[in-house]
Amino acid sequence: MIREIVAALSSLAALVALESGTGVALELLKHKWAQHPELLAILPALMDFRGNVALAHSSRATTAQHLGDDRAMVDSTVATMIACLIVPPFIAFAVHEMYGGNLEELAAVAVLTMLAVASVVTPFTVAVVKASVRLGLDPDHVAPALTTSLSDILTVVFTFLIAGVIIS
Amino acid sequence: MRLPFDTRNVLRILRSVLVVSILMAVLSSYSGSYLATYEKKLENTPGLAALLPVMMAAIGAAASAYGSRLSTDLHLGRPSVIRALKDASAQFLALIIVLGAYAEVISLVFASGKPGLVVLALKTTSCAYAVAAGLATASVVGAVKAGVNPDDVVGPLVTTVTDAVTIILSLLFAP
Repeated sequence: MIREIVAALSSLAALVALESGTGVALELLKHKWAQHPELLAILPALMDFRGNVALAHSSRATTAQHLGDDRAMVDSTVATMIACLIVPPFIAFAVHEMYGGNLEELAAVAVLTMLAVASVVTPFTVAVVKASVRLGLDPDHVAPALTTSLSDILTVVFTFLIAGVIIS
Repeated sequence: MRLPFDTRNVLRILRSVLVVSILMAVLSSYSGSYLATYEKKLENTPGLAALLPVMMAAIGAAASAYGSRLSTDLHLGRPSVIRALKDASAQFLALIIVLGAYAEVISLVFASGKPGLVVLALKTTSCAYAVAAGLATASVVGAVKAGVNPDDVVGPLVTTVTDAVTIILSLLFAP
Protein backbone atom coordinates (compact mmCIF):
# COMPACT_ATOMS: atom_id res chain seq x y z
CA MET A 1 0.00 0.00 0.00
CA ILE A 2 2.82 2.42 0.90
CA ARG A 3 4.52 1.66 -2.40
CA GLU A 4 1.28 2.43 -4.31
CA ILE A 5 0.84 5.73 -2.44
CA VAL A 6 4.45 6.75 -3.10
CA ALA A 7 4.12 5.87 -6.80
CA ALA A 8 0.84 7.80 -7.10
CA LEU A 9 2.27 10.73 -5.11
CA SER A 10 5.31 11.05 -7.32
CA SER A 11 3.38 10.96 -10.60
CA LEU A 12 0.63 13.31 -9.32
CA ALA A 13 3.19 15.73 -7.90
CA ALA A 14 4.91 15.79 -11.30
CA LEU A 15 1.54 16.32 -12.97
CA VAL A 16 0.60 19.20 -10.66
CA ALA A 17 4.01 20.78 -11.13
CA LEU A 18 3.56 20.61 -14.90
CA GLU A 19 -0.14 21.54 -14.85
CA SER A 20 0.51 24.55 -12.64
CA GLY A 21 1.93 26.16 -15.79
CA THR A 22 -1.46 25.65 -17.46
CA GLY A 23 -3.31 27.05 -14.45
CA VAL A 24 -1.10 30.09 -14.05
CA ALA A 25 -1.25 30.79 -17.81
CA LEU A 26 -5.05 30.67 -17.68
CA GLU A 27 -5.14 32.90 -14.59
CA LEU A 28 -2.97 35.44 -16.38
CA LEU A 29 -4.93 35.19 -19.65
CA LYS A 30 -8.26 36.09 -18.05
CA HIS A 31 -8.56 39.32 -19.99
CA LYS A 32 -8.09 37.59 -23.35
CA TRP A 33 -11.20 35.48 -22.67
CA ALA A 34 -13.28 38.60 -22.60
CA GLN A 35 -12.02 39.58 -26.06
CA HIS A 36 -12.29 36.07 -27.56
CA PRO A 37 -14.93 34.07 -25.65
CA GLU A 38 -14.81 31.37 -28.33
CA LEU A 39 -11.29 30.49 -27.11
CA LEU A 40 -12.60 29.89 -23.59
CA ALA A 41 -15.37 27.82 -25.12
CA ILE A 42 -13.12 25.67 -27.33
CA LEU A 43 -10.29 25.21 -24.83
CA PRO A 44 -11.97 22.66 -22.50
CA ALA A 45 -13.08 20.59 -25.50
CA LEU A 46 -9.60 20.61 -27.07
CA MET A 47 -7.94 19.82 -23.74
CA ASP A 48 -10.46 17.08 -23.06
CA PHE A 49 -10.04 15.50 -26.50
CA ARG A 50 -6.26 15.67 -26.43
CA GLY A 51 -6.23 14.29 -22.88
CA ASN A 52 -8.62 11.50 -23.87
CA VAL A 53 -6.51 10.48 -26.84
CA ALA A 54 -3.33 10.66 -24.78
CA LEU A 55 -4.87 8.54 -22.02
CA ALA A 56 -6.24 5.91 -24.40
CA HIS A 57 -2.86 5.75 -26.15
CA SER A 58 -1.08 5.59 -22.80
CA SER A 59 -3.38 2.83 -21.55
CA ARG A 60 -2.95 0.79 -24.76
CA ALA A 61 0.82 1.36 -24.71
CA THR A 62 1.16 0.14 -21.11
CA THR A 63 -0.98 -2.91 -21.87
CA ALA A 64 1.17 -3.60 -24.97
CA GLN A 65 4.29 -3.23 -22.84
CA HIS A 66 2.92 -5.65 -20.22
CA LEU A 67 2.03 -8.11 -23.01
CA GLY A 68 5.41 -7.60 -24.74
CA ASP A 69 3.66 -6.61 -28.00
CA ASP A 70 5.61 -3.82 -29.79
CA ARG A 71 3.45 -4.05 -32.93
CA ALA A 72 0.38 -3.12 -30.86
CA MET A 73 2.24 -0.08 -29.55
CA VAL A 74 3.13 1.09 -33.08
CA ASP A 75 -0.47 0.61 -34.29
CA SER A 76 -1.75 2.60 -31.33
CA THR A 77 0.67 5.45 -32.12
CA VAL A 78 -0.43 5.62 -35.78
CA ALA A 79 -4.13 5.51 -34.81
CA THR A 80 -3.61 8.32 -32.30
CA MET A 81 -2.02 10.61 -34.90
CA ILE A 82 -4.84 9.95 -37.39
CA ALA A 83 -7.50 10.65 -34.71
CA CYS A 84 -5.89 14.04 -34.09
CA LEU A 85 -6.52 14.94 -37.74
CA ILE A 86 -10.14 13.76 -37.87
CA VAL A 87 -11.77 14.92 -34.61
CA PRO A 88 -10.81 18.65 -34.26
CA PRO A 89 -13.19 19.86 -37.02
CA PHE A 90 -16.09 18.25 -35.08
CA ILE A 91 -15.01 20.18 -31.97
CA ALA A 92 -14.86 23.44 -33.93
CA PHE A 93 -18.32 22.77 -35.35
CA ALA A 94 -19.80 22.00 -31.89
CA VAL A 95 -18.31 25.18 -30.42
CA HIS A 96 -19.44 27.24 -33.43
CA GLU A 97 -23.00 25.93 -32.98
CA MET A 98 -23.02 26.78 -29.25
CA TYR A 99 -21.06 30.03 -29.09
CA GLY A 100 -20.76 31.34 -32.62
CA GLY A 101 -17.47 32.70 -33.92
CA ASN A 102 -15.92 32.09 -37.30
CA LEU A 103 -16.15 28.38 -38.14
CA GLU A 104 -13.18 28.37 -40.53
CA GLU A 105 -10.95 30.14 -38.00
CA LEU A 106 -12.04 27.85 -35.17
CA ALA A 107 -11.48 24.75 -37.32
CA ALA A 108 -8.03 25.96 -38.37
CA VAL A 109 -7.06 26.68 -34.75
CA ALA A 110 -8.39 23.29 -33.60
CA VAL A 111 -6.70 21.22 -36.32
CA LEU A 112 -3.33 23.01 -36.18
CA THR A 113 -3.26 22.95 -32.37
CA MET A 114 -4.05 19.24 -32.16
CA LEU A 115 -1.51 18.36 -34.86
CA ALA A 116 1.20 20.34 -33.11
CA VAL A 117 0.42 18.79 -29.72
CA ALA A 118 0.11 15.24 -31.08
CA SER A 119 3.46 15.44 -32.85
CA VAL A 120 5.10 16.01 -29.46
CA VAL A 121 2.97 14.00 -27.03
CA THR A 122 2.41 10.77 -28.97
CA PRO A 123 6.08 9.74 -29.23
CA PHE A 124 6.61 11.12 -25.70
CA THR A 125 4.04 8.63 -24.37
CA VAL A 126 5.87 5.66 -25.86
CA ALA A 127 9.15 6.97 -24.46
CA VAL A 128 7.63 7.35 -20.97
CA VAL A 129 6.25 3.80 -21.00
CA LYS A 130 9.60 2.34 -22.09
CA ALA A 131 11.55 4.51 -19.63
CA SER A 132 9.22 3.58 -16.73
CA VAL A 133 9.87 -0.11 -17.28
CA ARG A 134 13.62 0.45 -17.46
CA LEU A 135 13.48 2.40 -14.18
CA GLY A 136 11.47 -0.36 -12.49
CA LEU A 137 8.28 1.75 -12.24
CA ASP A 138 4.79 0.62 -13.22
CA PRO A 139 3.96 2.60 -16.42
CA ASP A 140 0.25 2.48 -15.46
CA HIS A 141 1.08 4.81 -12.57
CA VAL A 142 3.50 7.08 -14.42
CA ALA A 143 2.39 7.47 -18.04
CA PRO A 144 -1.22 8.79 -17.66
CA ALA A 145 -0.24 11.70 -15.41
CA LEU A 146 2.77 12.78 -17.45
CA THR A 147 1.16 12.50 -20.88
CA THR A 148 -2.08 14.28 -19.96
CA SER A 149 -0.28 17.12 -18.19
CA LEU A 150 2.04 17.70 -21.14
CA SER A 151 -0.99 17.58 -23.45
CA ASP A 152 -2.83 20.23 -21.41
CA ILE A 153 0.06 22.64 -21.22
CA LEU A 154 0.85 22.35 -24.92
CA THR A 155 -2.83 22.65 -25.85
CA VAL A 156 -3.22 25.94 -23.94
CA VAL A 157 0.05 27.36 -25.27
CA PHE A 158 -0.52 26.31 -28.91
CA THR A 159 -4.20 27.35 -28.88
CA PHE A 160 -3.37 30.93 -27.87
CA LEU A 161 -0.29 31.09 -30.10
CA ILE A 162 -2.08 29.79 -33.20
CA ALA A 163 -5.26 31.78 -32.47
CA GLY A 164 -3.13 34.89 -32.15
CA VAL A 165 -2.01 34.39 -35.74
CA ILE A 166 -5.29 33.16 -37.26
CA ILE A 167 -8.09 35.02 -35.46
CA SER A 168 -8.29 38.64 -36.51
CA MET B 1 -7.97 -15.80 -18.39
CA ARG B 2 -6.86 -12.98 -20.69
CA LEU B 3 -9.35 -10.66 -22.33
CA PRO B 4 -10.25 -11.65 -25.91
CA PHE B 5 -9.45 -8.29 -27.57
CA ASP B 6 -7.17 -7.81 -30.56
CA THR B 7 -4.89 -5.04 -29.31
CA ARG B 8 -3.38 -4.55 -32.81
CA ASN B 9 -4.87 -3.10 -36.03
CA VAL B 10 -4.94 0.66 -36.64
CA LEU B 11 -8.46 0.64 -38.11
CA ARG B 12 -9.93 -1.26 -35.15
CA ILE B 13 -8.29 1.14 -32.71
CA LEU B 14 -9.49 4.16 -34.74
CA ARG B 15 -13.06 2.85 -34.85
CA SER B 16 -13.35 2.69 -31.08
CA VAL B 17 -11.25 5.82 -30.41
CA LEU B 18 -13.09 8.03 -32.91
CA VAL B 19 -16.59 7.17 -31.73
CA VAL B 20 -15.70 7.74 -28.09
CA SER B 21 -13.60 10.84 -28.80
CA ILE B 22 -16.21 12.62 -30.91
CA LEU B 23 -18.95 11.86 -28.39
CA MET B 24 -16.79 13.06 -25.50
CA ALA B 25 -15.66 16.17 -27.42
CA VAL B 26 -19.27 17.19 -27.98
CA LEU B 27 -20.10 16.46 -24.32
CA SER B 28 -17.12 18.47 -23.12
CA SER B 29 -18.38 21.45 -25.12
CA TYR B 30 -21.21 21.56 -22.58
CA SER B 31 -18.60 21.82 -19.80
CA GLY B 32 -17.17 24.79 -21.69
CA SER B 33 -20.66 26.21 -21.94
CA TYR B 34 -21.12 25.96 -18.17
CA LEU B 35 -17.70 27.51 -17.63
CA ALA B 36 -18.56 30.37 -19.99
CA THR B 37 -21.85 30.94 -18.16
CA TYR B 38 -19.95 31.46 -14.90
CA GLU B 39 -17.02 33.29 -16.51
CA LYS B 40 -17.50 36.27 -14.18
CA LYS B 41 -17.32 34.04 -11.06
CA LEU B 42 -14.14 32.50 -12.41
CA GLU B 43 -12.72 35.92 -13.19
CA ASN B 44 -13.67 37.40 -9.82
CA THR B 45 -12.38 34.54 -7.60
CA PRO B 46 -8.60 35.00 -7.35
CA GLY B 47 -6.72 31.75 -7.96
CA LEU B 48 -9.70 29.73 -9.16
CA ALA B 49 -8.57 29.80 -12.80
CA ALA B 50 -5.14 28.58 -11.71
CA LEU B 51 -6.66 25.85 -9.54
CA LEU B 52 -9.35 24.52 -11.88
CA PRO B 53 -7.31 22.97 -14.73
CA VAL B 54 -4.92 21.38 -12.24
CA MET B 55 -7.77 19.81 -10.26
CA MET B 56 -9.42 18.59 -13.47
CA ALA B 57 -6.19 17.04 -14.72
CA ALA B 58 -5.11 15.50 -11.40
CA ILE B 59 -8.47 13.97 -10.50
CA GLY B 60 -8.93 12.64 -14.02
CA ALA B 61 -5.40 11.24 -14.08
CA ALA B 62 -5.75 9.58 -10.66
CA ALA B 63 -9.05 7.91 -11.56
CA SER B 64 -7.70 6.94 -14.99
CA ALA B 65 -4.54 5.47 -13.48
CA TYR B 66 -6.75 3.38 -11.20
CA GLY B 67 -8.91 2.36 -14.20
CA SER B 68 -5.82 1.57 -16.27
CA ARG B 69 -4.49 -0.72 -13.53
CA LEU B 70 -7.84 -2.44 -13.28
CA SER B 71 -7.87 -2.89 -17.07
CA THR B 72 -4.33 -4.28 -17.10
CA ASP B 73 -5.23 -6.73 -14.31
CA LEU B 74 -8.18 -7.95 -16.38
CA HIS B 75 -6.00 -8.25 -19.52
CA LEU B 76 -3.53 -10.32 -17.50
CA GLY B 77 -6.31 -12.47 -16.05
CA ARG B 78 -5.70 -11.53 -12.40
CA PRO B 79 -8.63 -9.34 -11.24
CA SER B 80 -8.69 -8.67 -7.47
CA VAL B 81 -11.14 -6.59 -5.43
CA ILE B 82 -8.55 -6.03 -2.68
CA ARG B 83 -5.97 -4.78 -5.15
CA ALA B 84 -8.56 -2.50 -6.78
CA LEU B 85 -9.53 -1.00 -3.39
CA LYS B 86 -5.86 -0.48 -2.49
CA ASP B 87 -5.19 1.22 -5.84
CA ALA B 88 -8.23 3.49 -5.53
CA SER B 89 -7.35 4.44 -1.93
CA ALA B 90 -3.70 5.10 -2.77
CA GLN B 91 -4.69 7.42 -5.61
CA PHE B 92 -7.16 9.27 -3.36
CA LEU B 93 -4.64 9.83 -0.55
CA ALA B 94 -2.01 11.05 -3.00
CA LEU B 95 -4.57 13.32 -4.66
CA ILE B 96 -5.63 14.98 -1.39
CA ILE B 97 -2.04 15.59 -0.32
CA VAL B 98 -0.87 17.00 -3.66
CA LEU B 99 -3.92 19.14 -4.46
CA GLY B 100 -4.16 20.44 -0.88
CA ALA B 101 -0.55 21.59 -1.08
CA TYR B 102 -1.03 23.12 -4.53
CA ALA B 103 -4.17 25.00 -3.41
CA GLU B 104 -2.22 26.39 -0.45
CA VAL B 105 0.50 27.71 -2.77
CA ILE B 106 -2.04 29.21 -5.19
CA SER B 107 -3.89 30.77 -2.27
CA LEU B 108 -0.69 32.42 -1.07
CA VAL B 109 0.23 33.68 -4.54
CA PHE B 110 -3.15 34.84 -5.86
CA ALA B 111 -5.53 35.11 -2.88
CA SER B 112 -3.39 36.57 -0.06
CA GLY B 113 -3.40 33.24 1.81
CA LYS B 114 -7.16 33.09 2.41
CA PRO B 115 -8.10 29.50 3.42
CA GLY B 116 -11.20 29.40 1.21
CA LEU B 117 -9.33 28.12 -1.83
CA VAL B 118 -7.84 25.13 0.08
CA VAL B 119 -11.24 24.17 1.50
CA LEU B 120 -12.77 24.50 -1.95
CA ALA B 121 -10.03 22.28 -3.45
CA LEU B 122 -10.42 19.55 -0.80
CA LYS B 123 -14.23 19.48 -1.00
CA THR B 124 -14.22 19.44 -4.80
CA THR B 125 -11.47 16.80 -4.99
CA SER B 126 -13.17 14.42 -2.52
CA CYS B 127 -16.56 14.58 -4.23
CA ALA B 128 -15.25 14.51 -7.81
CA TYR B 129 -12.83 11.61 -7.15
CA ALA B 130 -15.61 9.54 -5.56
CA VAL B 131 -17.62 9.96 -8.76
CA ALA B 132 -14.58 9.38 -11.01
CA ALA B 133 -13.38 6.20 -9.27
CA GLY B 134 -16.89 4.75 -9.24
CA LEU B 135 -17.23 5.54 -12.92
CA ALA B 136 -13.82 4.03 -13.71
CA THR B 137 -14.82 0.76 -12.05
CA ALA B 138 -18.20 0.69 -13.75
CA SER B 139 -16.77 1.53 -17.17
CA VAL B 140 -14.06 -1.17 -17.02
CA VAL B 141 -16.60 -3.81 -16.02
CA GLY B 142 -19.19 -2.45 -18.47
CA ALA B 143 -16.69 -2.34 -21.36
CA VAL B 144 -15.65 -5.95 -20.80
CA LYS B 145 -19.28 -7.07 -20.63
CA ALA B 146 -20.04 -5.09 -23.83
CA GLY B 147 -17.11 -6.72 -25.65
CA VAL B 148 -15.14 -3.45 -25.94
CA ASN B 149 -11.49 -3.07 -24.95
CA PRO B 150 -11.60 -1.08 -21.66
CA ASP B 151 -8.31 0.63 -22.59
CA ASP B 152 -10.17 2.52 -25.34
CA VAL B 153 -13.10 3.59 -23.17
CA VAL B 154 -12.12 4.18 -19.56
CA GLY B 155 -9.75 7.14 -20.00
CA PRO B 156 -12.00 9.25 -22.26
CA LEU B 157 -15.14 8.57 -20.27
CA VAL B 158 -13.57 9.15 -16.87
CA THR B 159 -11.70 12.34 -17.80
CA THR B 160 -14.67 13.91 -19.61
CA VAL B 161 -17.11 13.26 -16.76
CA THR B 162 -14.47 14.25 -14.19
CA ASP B 163 -13.86 17.54 -15.99
CA ALA B 164 -17.58 18.35 -16.01
CA VAL B 165 -18.09 17.33 -12.36
CA THR B 166 -15.00 19.26 -11.23
CA ILE B 167 -16.05 22.43 -13.09
CA ILE B 168 -19.60 22.28 -11.72
CA LEU B 169 -18.58 21.48 -8.12
CA SER B 170 -15.80 24.04 -7.92
CA LEU B 171 -18.06 26.79 -9.25
CA LEU B 172 -20.81 25.70 -6.83
CA PHE B 173 -18.41 25.68 -3.86
CA ALA B 174 -16.76 28.96 -4.89
CA PRO B 175 -17.94 31.95 -2.82
